[in-house]
Amino acid sequence: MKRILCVDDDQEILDIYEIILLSEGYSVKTSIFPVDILQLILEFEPDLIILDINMNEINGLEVCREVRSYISNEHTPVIMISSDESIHTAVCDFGATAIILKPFQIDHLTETVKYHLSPSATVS
Amino acid sequence: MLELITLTLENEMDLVLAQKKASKLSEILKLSLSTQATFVTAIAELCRVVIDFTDTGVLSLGLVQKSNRYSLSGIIQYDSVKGSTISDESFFYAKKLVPLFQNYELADKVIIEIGINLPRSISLDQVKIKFLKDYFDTEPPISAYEEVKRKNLELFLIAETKDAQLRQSKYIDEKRNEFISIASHELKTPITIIKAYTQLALMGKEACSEQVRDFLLKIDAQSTKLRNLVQQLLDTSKIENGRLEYNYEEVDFNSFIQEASFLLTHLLPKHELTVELGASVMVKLDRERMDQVFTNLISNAGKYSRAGSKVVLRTAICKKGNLTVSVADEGIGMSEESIEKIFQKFHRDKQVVNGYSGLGMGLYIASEIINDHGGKIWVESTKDVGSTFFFSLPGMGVC
Repeated sequence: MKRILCVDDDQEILDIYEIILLSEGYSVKTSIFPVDILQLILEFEPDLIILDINMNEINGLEVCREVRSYISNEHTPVIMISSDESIHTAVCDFGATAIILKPFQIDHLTETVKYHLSPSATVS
Repeated sequence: MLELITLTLENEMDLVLAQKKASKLSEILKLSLSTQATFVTAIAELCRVVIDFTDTGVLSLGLVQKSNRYSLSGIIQYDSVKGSTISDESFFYAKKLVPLFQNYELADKVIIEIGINLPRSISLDQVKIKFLKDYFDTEPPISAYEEVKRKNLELFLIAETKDAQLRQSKYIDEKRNEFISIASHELKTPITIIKAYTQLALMGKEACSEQVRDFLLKIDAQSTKLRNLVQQLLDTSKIENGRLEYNYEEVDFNSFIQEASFLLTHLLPKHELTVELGASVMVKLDRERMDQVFTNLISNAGKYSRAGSKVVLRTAICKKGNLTVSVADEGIGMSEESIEKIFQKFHRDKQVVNGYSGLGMGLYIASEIINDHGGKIWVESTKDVGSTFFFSLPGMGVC
């Protein structure tokens, strides 16, 4: 069973990720930011990470960069969630794999997660 | 000091003016001729030296009261200059002529003060002082130069006020844009959550009644509306800040329309939508932004016309190879006056404000997008008959 780690500063959004991803059959851990992400990654060893960009007081992109340099497995996808589409080209510079805009369609989220967890997914 | 005359010292003509004013003042005070001459000479020397040194000098002439005695006083202030000063020697005569002389620095200004004690015979009381003040306050300019000087000062003060007002309104503008940007980000989160739960409920394994299903679909449709409104707010603030960004792609326009047709029919559940495509052409466009333009034009066509009426979307290529798209409805139309204003920010026609919802930003944003794409947008309309919105896009050659 694939493991997915979700980090956001909004508990309500985390609840939704949990409901959606659990029903898709994944093992899910959610954590409200601020949290020691690096420690979590060490303990939980996720196969995919979902990270919000617009968290209060801290830039999600910076967190992504930190996470990316920390994860030993370069192929672990990090999916960023943003409310602003103009960010999307900058995302790759920070090591993110994909971006989903909110508000999102549930099937868009599940399809994106499924795609990036499949062995045939290309790494950006 | 009770100031009676104030004068900036910028050039030699101010020297002449200063002399004349000092002369007038000492004359009105009925000082003896020699005292008048002494005072005026001293003032003249001070002014000449200061004007020679800097153009930041300001002369004040007036009265200084000490217990019940008055002295006639002249004060010159100028901005101190690092590294150089006017030495006392330059004021040779002034110091000799008048009993009271001071030259000192205070804050970042240099101050030179001279004074002559007035004899007791010149008894000054509040009435006489008021007279003096009024005299110099209302005195007409004594020369063309003074007239020009006064006008300059007036204009300068007006300009300063306008500057301050401009800075203030710029500041308010910035704050407002910041607010709109933050607000629209904040609003997207609860909308995301509402949509997610609505979809989860619709997708859920437990069957729900037709009625509940219907309610959920309505909730989803309304939250989509909310999302679009929030997006409009965000876009407007971006346009204001010049930050609207595009991801251009080269696209076969007819294919683009075909891909969008599902979206388009969805926008007009109660109307007959006909799509008439001319020859196709490659255009450079941002898919999402173009979707926004279509969403706006098509949903307006539906909103402002009655259910069951026709909406026609047409594309055509002009002789130069540019694309023209039109959306025609059989709706309420608009007046000549409205045709001119319809693309303005926040514009809402009086006839629609009460009957139809909207923020007045959709067409404004659509016109910004089309203009940024190198095209034009316009409308032809007849009241109560219908409107046709047109836009053009530069073609990149026929496919």
